[in-house]
Amino acid sequence: MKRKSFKILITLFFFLIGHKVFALTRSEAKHLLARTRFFYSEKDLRFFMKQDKLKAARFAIGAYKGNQLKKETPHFLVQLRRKKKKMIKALRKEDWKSFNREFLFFYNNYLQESKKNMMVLPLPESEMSKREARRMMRKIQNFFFPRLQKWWIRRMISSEEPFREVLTLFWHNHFTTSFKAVKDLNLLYQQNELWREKALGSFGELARSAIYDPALGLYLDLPKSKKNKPNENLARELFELFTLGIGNYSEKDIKEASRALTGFRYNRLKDIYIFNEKLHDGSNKVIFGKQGNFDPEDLIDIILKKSETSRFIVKKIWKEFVHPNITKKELDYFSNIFKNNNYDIRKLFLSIFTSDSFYEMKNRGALVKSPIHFILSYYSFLNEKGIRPKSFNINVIMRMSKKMGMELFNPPNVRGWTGYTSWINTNTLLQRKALVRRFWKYRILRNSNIPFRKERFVKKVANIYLPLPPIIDLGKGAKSKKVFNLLSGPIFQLR
Amino acid sequence: MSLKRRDFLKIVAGLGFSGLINPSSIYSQLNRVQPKAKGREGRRLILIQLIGGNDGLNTLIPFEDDIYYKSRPKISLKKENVLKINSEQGLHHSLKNTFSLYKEGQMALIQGVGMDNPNLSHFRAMDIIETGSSSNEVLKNGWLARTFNETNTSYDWNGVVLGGGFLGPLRGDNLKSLSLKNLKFFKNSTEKLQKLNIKELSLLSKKNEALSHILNVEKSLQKTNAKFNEINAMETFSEGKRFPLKKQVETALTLIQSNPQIPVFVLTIPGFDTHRNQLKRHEVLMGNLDQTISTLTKGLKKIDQWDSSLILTYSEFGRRVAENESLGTDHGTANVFFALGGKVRGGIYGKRPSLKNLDKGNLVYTTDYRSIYYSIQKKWFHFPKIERSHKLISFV
Repeated sequence: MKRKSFKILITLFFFLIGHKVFALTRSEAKHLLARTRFFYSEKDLRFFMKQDKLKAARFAIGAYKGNQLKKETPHFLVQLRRKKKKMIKALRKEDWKSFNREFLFFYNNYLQESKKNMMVLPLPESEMSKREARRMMRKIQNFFFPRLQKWWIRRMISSEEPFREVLTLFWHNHFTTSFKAVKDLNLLYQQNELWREKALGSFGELARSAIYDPALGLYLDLPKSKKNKPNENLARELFELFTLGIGNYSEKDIKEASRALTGFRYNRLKDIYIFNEKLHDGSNKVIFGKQGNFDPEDLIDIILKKSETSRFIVKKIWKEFVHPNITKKELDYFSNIFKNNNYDIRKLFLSIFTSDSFYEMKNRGALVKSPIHFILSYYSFLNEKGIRPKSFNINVIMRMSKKMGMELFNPPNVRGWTGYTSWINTNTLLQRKALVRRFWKYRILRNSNIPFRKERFVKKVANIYLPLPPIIDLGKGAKSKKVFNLLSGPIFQLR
Repeated sequence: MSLKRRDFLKIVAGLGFSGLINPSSIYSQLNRVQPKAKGREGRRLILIQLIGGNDGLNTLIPFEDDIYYKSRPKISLKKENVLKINSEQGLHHSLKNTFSLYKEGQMALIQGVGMDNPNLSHFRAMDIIETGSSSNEVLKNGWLARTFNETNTSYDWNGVVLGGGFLGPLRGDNLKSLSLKNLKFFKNSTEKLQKLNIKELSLLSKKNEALSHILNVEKSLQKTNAKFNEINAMETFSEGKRFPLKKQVETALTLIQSNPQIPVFVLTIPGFDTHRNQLKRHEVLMGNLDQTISTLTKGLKKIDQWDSSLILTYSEFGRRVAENESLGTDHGTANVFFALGGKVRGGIYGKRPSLKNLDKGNLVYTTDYRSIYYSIQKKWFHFPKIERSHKLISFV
């Protein structure tokens, strides 16, 4: 009796107070933003503090944005693609005259700025060979590589859908591919757009696209995989790193799966992979105890039927977006949701970001900012306050990210960046601190109207941009250094 | 009130400046007083990593083997130029200083080093050789990080990686391994560090693993700062002509002199992936290696640390026996490692891999690379706890 009337009272109370009670607290809003964006502003935080959990999660994920994703091909690439095609055709015919004509175009147009990157000189026709020609083409690719990196960084900064960009990086680090190995900017660009486009779709679809992706295939030796001599590299990584996780398959499964994956052919002129039935090993295979003349599509179906896949992906997502360790209960719950919803990534994230587990206190500030997270957070802070020196530009972001151990498009190996605490060693932490110092200009500060010496402002910065209370004593020390100390201190490294 | 060790060191360093005491000797004595590792104290390993896959066959040349000359008609090295170490093998002609160390009996050549089912990808092969795994096993931590972990050593620092990159064979040991590129930058930046009240912080970070990791790195940086203040008083090593690794060598020597207890240093030389025009490029690379070794050796002798140092070169793999069409060589397998030091038993170790019985054009290894690691753990550092099934080699 008593309990019932109490319930009614509570309901009434919430009804009257309305969404204000359900709105995110400051700490909750910060937590959600830190996990779904590379950086956020004071305005973003205020906006999220007005939303309830569901609305906030939807905004964070980028619902309400419709399907307006448009590709923004970097300018340099349009030209590069066209020229590349011509050069490949010339190379095949060993028509060195036309080849040199195309090469000279790059040589004359870009030599000025490329003293370091393009030291190769055009060769006379008599000295040309296929090998030389390929080397010259690689030099061109190397030259333009920083532009592709900068294109991506610009997207990260200006995207309308910040979470999609965060996920693009996440999938780039999941289905790893490196420029060092692939050496082709168009392939990397296409792959990058693929991760972006499918970032929030179905994981099954994503995995399927991954094995048709020429950059990934080249990275994992798929072209070397022949019907009579299959290469196991892709099959192994597909199981171990992309879907099932180590220990959930046998060496035999890998051998059989690698046969199922034969038959892809890379069309270099169109930069696509085509599955050719004739090159495919169509004979009988046994994978996970099932028999059939499986092809690549079947293989993905088989993988998706296994609950280990769902568990492996949920675990990895948890590690990157919630907490380094997932409890068994949470893993059971979310991997069921993931699998039962046809591996719908958007739904999985929605259920995570509206759950109580996500908002648990122990998760706040429990992750480490990647170099990109860190640099962009600082960059956007300075921008927002109008105190960013001009010298802090995209070029610097690219170079510093590499110095801190994260060169975009070049993860160290097929496992990708291991992230979390591995981001911080003595060298990288000093690099992070040096970056903050380098662009913290008192000359600019004094000319701005930022009250950077005022106690109130220091506290405000801590409240908005730090995931946890600062552990340095805000009352002590030189007044002018307080904000600087916050930004180069340990808490700002977290998210 | 007792004088803090750090303050004391500052005074000592000051005295050193005025020429009264040699600061380095006092410093090293101070270090010896401290409780130290259970292994052999004061010994160190200096790794020189040759990135890209060094060509073992053109480093240690089998100049009496016809197959060598037949497989490499254009890029083989002539018998008369080779620095002969015995009647059938000799070193690359650019390794002159290294060769004289061999003649003095302070250099061991370990040949035919490799593993079962070698992987020919740079990244994977480097992963394998740095973690000390077998080729089908993925280990997270570097072989040295695992060694220090297993032996519960108590060095202030376990190692320093001088390129400023990832920790390589020390990976997984972020708290006691330093990665640094530029000593000046490192020193300046550590001096500018804000003081953190670590005690207070440890309480806060108890439940947050990420935070406690960062605080540990901060801690080791602050500790570094306290010690690196002494570096000014040390000898300078910046004489001699320039070569690519000069900076790394100088930094290593400076650090060794100021902190003789650090057991591991890692230096890296890139560029060994000689797919094309190998003769010229390899000659330059061997010259660099020779310079690196001789400058290190001279420096170590100067500060009386030659006997306590073991220099080891390694590379992710060797190269194909036959040359390719672009006057280079492709990724291969078994390779030769150098070990140098005052206490090294000079000579040539391991069986020479046959040039006749190849596996897909590659040498078949005769010594498991982990035997070298195990010998270093057992015979150089004398870590009693380490037990492996690999054979021991007695080059130290």
